[in-house]
Amino acid sequence: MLPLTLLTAGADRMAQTDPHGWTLTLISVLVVFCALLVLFLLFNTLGGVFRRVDERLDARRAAYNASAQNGKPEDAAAPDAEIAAIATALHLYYTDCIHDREPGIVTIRPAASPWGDKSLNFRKKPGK
Amino acid sequence: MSIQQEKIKELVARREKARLGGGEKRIAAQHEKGKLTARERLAILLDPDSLEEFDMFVQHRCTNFGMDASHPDGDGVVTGRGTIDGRTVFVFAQDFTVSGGSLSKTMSEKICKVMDMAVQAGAPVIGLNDSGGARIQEGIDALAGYGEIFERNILASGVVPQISGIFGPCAGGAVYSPALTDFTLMVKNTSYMFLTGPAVVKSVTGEEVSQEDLGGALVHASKSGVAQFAAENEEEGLATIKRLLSFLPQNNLETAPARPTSDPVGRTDDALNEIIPDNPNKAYDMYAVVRSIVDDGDFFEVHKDFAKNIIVGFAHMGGRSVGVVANQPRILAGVLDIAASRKAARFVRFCDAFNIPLVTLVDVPGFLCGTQQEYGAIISNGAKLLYAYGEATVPKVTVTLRKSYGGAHIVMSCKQLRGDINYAWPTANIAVMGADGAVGILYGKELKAETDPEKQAQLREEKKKEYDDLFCNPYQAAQKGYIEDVIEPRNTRFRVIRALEALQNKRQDIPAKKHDNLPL
Repeated sequence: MLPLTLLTAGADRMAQTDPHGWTLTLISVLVVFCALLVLFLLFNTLGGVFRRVDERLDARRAAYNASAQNGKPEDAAAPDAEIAAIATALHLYYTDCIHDREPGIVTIRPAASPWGDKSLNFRKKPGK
Repeated sequence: MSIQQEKIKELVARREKARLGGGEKRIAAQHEKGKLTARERLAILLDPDSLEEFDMFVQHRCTNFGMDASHPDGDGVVTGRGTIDGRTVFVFAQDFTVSGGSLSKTMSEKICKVMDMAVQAGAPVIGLNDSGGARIQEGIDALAGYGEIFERNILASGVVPQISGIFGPCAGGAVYSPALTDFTLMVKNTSYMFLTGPAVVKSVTGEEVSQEDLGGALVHASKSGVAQFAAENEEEGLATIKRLLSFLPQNNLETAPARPTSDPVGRTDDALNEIIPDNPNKAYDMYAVVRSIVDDGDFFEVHKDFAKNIIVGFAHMGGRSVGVVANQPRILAGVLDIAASRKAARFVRFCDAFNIPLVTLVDVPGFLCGTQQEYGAIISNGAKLLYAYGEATVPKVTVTLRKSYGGAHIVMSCKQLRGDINYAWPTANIAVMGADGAVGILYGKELKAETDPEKQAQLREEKKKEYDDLFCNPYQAAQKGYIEDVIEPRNTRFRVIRALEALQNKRQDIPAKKHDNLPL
């Protein structure tokens, strides 16, 4: 156990140099303000960073919504099945299934005609 | 890709190549001349998507003169079947971009095939000619090819309608196919028909003449009568062919398609009551009469620029297709001459062959006189028209408007030529000859005996009036039953349509024979 005089030496020096406690008060206040300043700077910087991140996310969201409304899929993520179907069709068209195109319509108007009378196809009997 | 799919790809590629004919360069050259290609013509002529092309991949088999170096598909002709207004037709169109459209044995085989199909199916044949002639490299095979085509033209004649469109050169022996068909259409400035071209003409006769003046569309449409139609351009020509077909049946067992009309059957036209001039020597326009009585005033004239003293063409009356023959008083007073007789005879025989009733409007003072006509055999040519009318078994309705004298009266579908219904206007003069000529013959002595010119003229006028009162009216003929009735002109349309309706099931035949001996 240290002697009592050694334990109170600092306090005694404080009492002699700053009898009213103004220096101690000043230093305490300064420390608090510095700490507050540091915290302020820290939060300010972090806030700016978070704001910028938010703005970018908002911009992307807006662009996606706009492209979804206009039908332009540049930024829109089209469903996979659609893409697969289009690719398959193109592949088949260009590689596997070139067709000999036919018009597919019959333009002949049906009309009964004595030309088609079956009796005209009968064999003629030889004359007597 | 499977083998089958590879083969399909090959088919598509071959078809695309065949469709190009002689290639893009030659197609461009064709267009520069103001001409279409064979397929372009068919695309305009036929209903959309109706053409089924046959023998697209046929190639020639000639090896002479380096011909085996190239075997273009189709060999210069596009043949097939299509429809026009829903009615089947068989077509061939020569492709000038391939070997100049020159005829080879294989081209002939392709053409003969569609002609055979047409006869079997009972459908018209339409040929679009654009050819440099026989393919010399093929030698006699080319001539044989022409012969085969001509024989089929002959066998199909009177069985199915045959129409030729000349859309380019048609020279030498090639001209006989169009000449054998029922109708020939040419296009001004781009089509030519002649047996021998200007170069040979110059070397043989020394005569200098251009292709257009020797065998152009106008020459054949107006001077020779070889072509019945001359179109301003190809599109108009193809439209004309389509319109012509609308008046014709598919074959000789059918009737032409009816065309519904809102034009009333009983429509009267007061203008007809005033159309005949008081002066018998004054002309009027027969076209006005024709347009007045046909449906909707729609008259499709054939041979418009040839022998204008007679009008022939198709129309509808009461919705039915009819052939109209009418003298034109404005030209040569409507007399019949060599050209008019030939023109009308050919038309009448076509109508008879294809069950198209005939409506004849008569105002004919007689035959054209003179040595030119006599030396040109007006007798035989007039007899052609007489024969045609006498032989025809289709319904024949005749209306005499004004003059109908002498032999011309008989020729123009008189009662004795088995005319079914013969009408006359009150202004009709049906007689052996006109008053002027008759008085000169009947009272020649009395007129000569009268020396006073004034009295002679007075006597002549008196006798003419006597003759007019007795003969120059329709009632002499009506009294003898040579006409069925005298009708008021404004009622002509109704009377003719009613007569045609009554005759629609007419049956009449001629004695069996191998064939006639028409005075050709």
